[in-house]
Amino acid sequence: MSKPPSQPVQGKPSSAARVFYFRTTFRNAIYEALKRRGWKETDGDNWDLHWTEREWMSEVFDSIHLSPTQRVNHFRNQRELCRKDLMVKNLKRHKRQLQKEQNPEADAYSFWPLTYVLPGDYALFVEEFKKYPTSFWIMKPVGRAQGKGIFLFKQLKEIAKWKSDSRYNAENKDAETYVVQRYISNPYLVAGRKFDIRLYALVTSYNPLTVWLHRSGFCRFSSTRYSNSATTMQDTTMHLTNVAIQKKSDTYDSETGGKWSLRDLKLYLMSRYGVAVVDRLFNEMEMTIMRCLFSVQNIMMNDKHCFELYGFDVLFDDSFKVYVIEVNASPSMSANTKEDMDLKVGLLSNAFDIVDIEGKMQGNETRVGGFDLIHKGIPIKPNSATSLYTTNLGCDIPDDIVRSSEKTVGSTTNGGTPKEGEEKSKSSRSGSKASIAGRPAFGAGGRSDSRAGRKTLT
Amino acid sequence: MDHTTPQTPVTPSSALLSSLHLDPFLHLSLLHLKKNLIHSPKSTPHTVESIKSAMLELGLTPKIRNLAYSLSCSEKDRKSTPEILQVEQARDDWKQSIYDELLSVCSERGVSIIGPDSAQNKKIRYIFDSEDLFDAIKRIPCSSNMNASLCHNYGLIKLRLSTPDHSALRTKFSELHPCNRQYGMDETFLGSSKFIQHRQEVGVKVLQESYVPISMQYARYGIPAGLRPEIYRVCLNLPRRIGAKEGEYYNSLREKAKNMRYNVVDELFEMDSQTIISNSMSFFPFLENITNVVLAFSRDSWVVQNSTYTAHESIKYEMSDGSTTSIPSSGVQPFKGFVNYIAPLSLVYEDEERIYFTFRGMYSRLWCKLNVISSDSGTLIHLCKTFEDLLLSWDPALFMHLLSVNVAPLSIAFTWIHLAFTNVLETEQLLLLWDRLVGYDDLLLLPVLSAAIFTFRSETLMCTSSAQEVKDILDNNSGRRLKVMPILQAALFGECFK
Repeated sequence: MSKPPSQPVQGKPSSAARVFYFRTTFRNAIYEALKRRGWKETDGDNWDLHWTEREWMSEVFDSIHLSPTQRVNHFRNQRELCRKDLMVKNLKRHKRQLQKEQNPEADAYSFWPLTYVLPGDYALFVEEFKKYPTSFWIMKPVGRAQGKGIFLFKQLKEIAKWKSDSRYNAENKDAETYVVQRYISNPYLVAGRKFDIRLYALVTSYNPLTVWLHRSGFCRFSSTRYSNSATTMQDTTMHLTNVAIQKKSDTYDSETGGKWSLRDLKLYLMSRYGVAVVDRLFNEMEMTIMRCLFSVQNIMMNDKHCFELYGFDVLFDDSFKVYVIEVNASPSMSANTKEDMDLKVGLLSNAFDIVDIEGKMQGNETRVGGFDLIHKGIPIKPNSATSLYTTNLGCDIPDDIVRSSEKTVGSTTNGGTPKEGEEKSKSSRSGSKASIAGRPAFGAGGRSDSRAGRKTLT
Repeated sequence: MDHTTPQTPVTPSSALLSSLHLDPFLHLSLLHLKKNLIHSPKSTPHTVESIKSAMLELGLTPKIRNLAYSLSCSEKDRKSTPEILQVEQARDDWKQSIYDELLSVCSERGVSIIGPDSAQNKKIRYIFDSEDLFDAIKRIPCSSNMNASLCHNYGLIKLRLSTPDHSALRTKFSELHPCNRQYGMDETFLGSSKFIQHRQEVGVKVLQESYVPISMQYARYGIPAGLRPEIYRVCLNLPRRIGAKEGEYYNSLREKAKNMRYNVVDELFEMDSQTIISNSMSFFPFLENITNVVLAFSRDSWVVQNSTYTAHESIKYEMSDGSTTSIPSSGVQPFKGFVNYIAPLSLVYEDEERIYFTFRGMYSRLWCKLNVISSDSGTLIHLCKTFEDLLLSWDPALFMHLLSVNVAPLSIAFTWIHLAFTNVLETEQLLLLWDRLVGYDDLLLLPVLSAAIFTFRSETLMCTSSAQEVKDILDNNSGRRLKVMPILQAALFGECFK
């Protein structure tokens, strides 16, 4: 079972000896990642980490007292960022603020399509609608996920039925809120198909704003070749890339899950457009994420017990303009393939390292596993002397010297599996955990001292 | 076309001249040159310089230079030593067995090899794969005129072939020495932005020259992703950018594939694509493109005319009008994993035509050598023997240990070599390896890398006590984290680092 490391980390009190508890109702990658750390599950209140649902946050969080080391995985009012209508409201408000201050950054706040909240803004929407007679629009219920209830339309009469339904009446207090957005009809296509990109950002504090961005992510492809034609507008498998929708398609491939790694996308794009263009695109994706966070920075209820792992859904069009589709406070941690599971467990393990309930971090790290620290009060960029890129998004994740999740769990495999073998030889060579972004992945190369030593003997 | 048929000696200059006449563009340009410069009544006494500049203007210079270069290479390629009898026999047997298998599958399904699809949706099985090829090679006995005791060696390849030793490899691959900055290694280091910029500038100049040997030399140090598409094309003696003619040619191949179906053969190619590509994390978006490329390839008689080696036997089929056609026209029969040679190019090129011509060029230069049974140096058997000899000399203790747990190292490395590491490395690393294969126009790095991986894993492998453990360690999935250049450099030049 779990074996505590034999030596305490330099300079920190040895909290390593005690057992850590988690509480969660989830049984997917979250559970897996926590078990692999050697943590134990509890139903009671003695947890160190509670991976909660949003409902728990709104119902219970306010009423309980937490100890200084306890952590929960949501901020109290995350919906300011994650509910479609509130996000747009906050983005617009922040933009207006920047414009008032005559801050040139305001111009960069154009990464969401024209959006209105219904039923409230219906009149405003109609006025705008008339200015774009050839556009398609997309309707999304704010409270639902997995693509449920989303549909596309071109003419107002197509939503007449929706509008006349008393459920959506503006006077009805319980009316379900929708956002209506101008549909991005020229998405960038790969092999003729539309895709969006899921990126993961970990926020450990809003004050100072501390953001870690994961280098990898994945592209979710639609299984049908894209077409702008009106006849296929209702084909959700062509236009909506949510996995839940794609799973229903005949051509859905359960082996790959229709997910393409961000690294492959980056390589594909670099072969076509060169490094500079692609770096700019990926940097723009990173900056867009940051701008979303800036917009809610001052209204989020910061709490040192809280952190949040966001799933950002972004898209770019054929002129490489980046759009944010939405932000998820509870990105799915279920996996439909082994690769997917590995990615998510790795991601979560890194996130738990960063949240650092165990007290192992030195505090000066800029990269933990696949996460890069991109903001801590001020933006943090890769060192231009070591890095080719202005963002590490989409770059290779170096093999780590130490992955604390694997270090605390005792060896369970027989014989030497390659991963363990590599880990052992690497950890014996270097004691440092902190890794500067851009450091060469020597661990993965062949130049191990023991090899060279052996060579001289033969 | 059997490459062992002796050909009438052809001098380079006569070959050049006849080639010049065959290429319509060159022919017309030369006529134009003759008319306007040399025989024009208004021409001033012309110097070599003025002719040179006129040729440059017409775009003749790069074409002629590359033509001359490729002719000089093909001179070297011509075989000088006769084939070993046992190998020749094995090759004929191999070709025959594929041929027979194909025909028997056809008759099983009750279809003729060509013709409309009888809509048989019965599951089809591969007619052969890497393992079969491996078996065919393993069976080849040592030459009968050698003393039996001299034939004993620890490897599976019994043939006494001479393979390059360590110092020969270090000389051959001197560009890969760590003192030279290169891609796959140096772009990740401190101060790398200058290197990257420099590499980019040099690459652009190299492309302007469009001269085959210079591009190849450039490729040996690894190619930046943005330049790879064009550099590969130039190295394969294609114009850097695809032209309308090439597009038309490709479309005609696709038409052929649509109009006349090869039963069984097409099915096998499609199944290969379906099984491998749709399950591939990196290439699944390109399933349709890759399938189209492989089917077009099978219709292309250029392949059989221009490949250094013909790996398989085509089936000669008599058409209703009395003409005979080869099936497939390319002379390459479908086997499990064939699409792996195509897939990585889908991350390099934007569209099918571009993928097609580079793939075709790479097949005719490189991959055909991995699929032919021959004793020629640089082909599969020789590469396998090189692997065994290298591993034995680099790490004899490991070699013996593996034998003691009943694992012949070649049994694991064979697919790595046969499929050029497509089933092992992650794409970026694979392309960095392929850069060197294209740059050296040589497959020798495949056994070198294979042996290097074994020695890299030596510590863990020495602890194994069963064949299964060895297989787990050297499992293809574990290769996804491998970095090619550091491992190659350590293996080739490792003694420098004491």
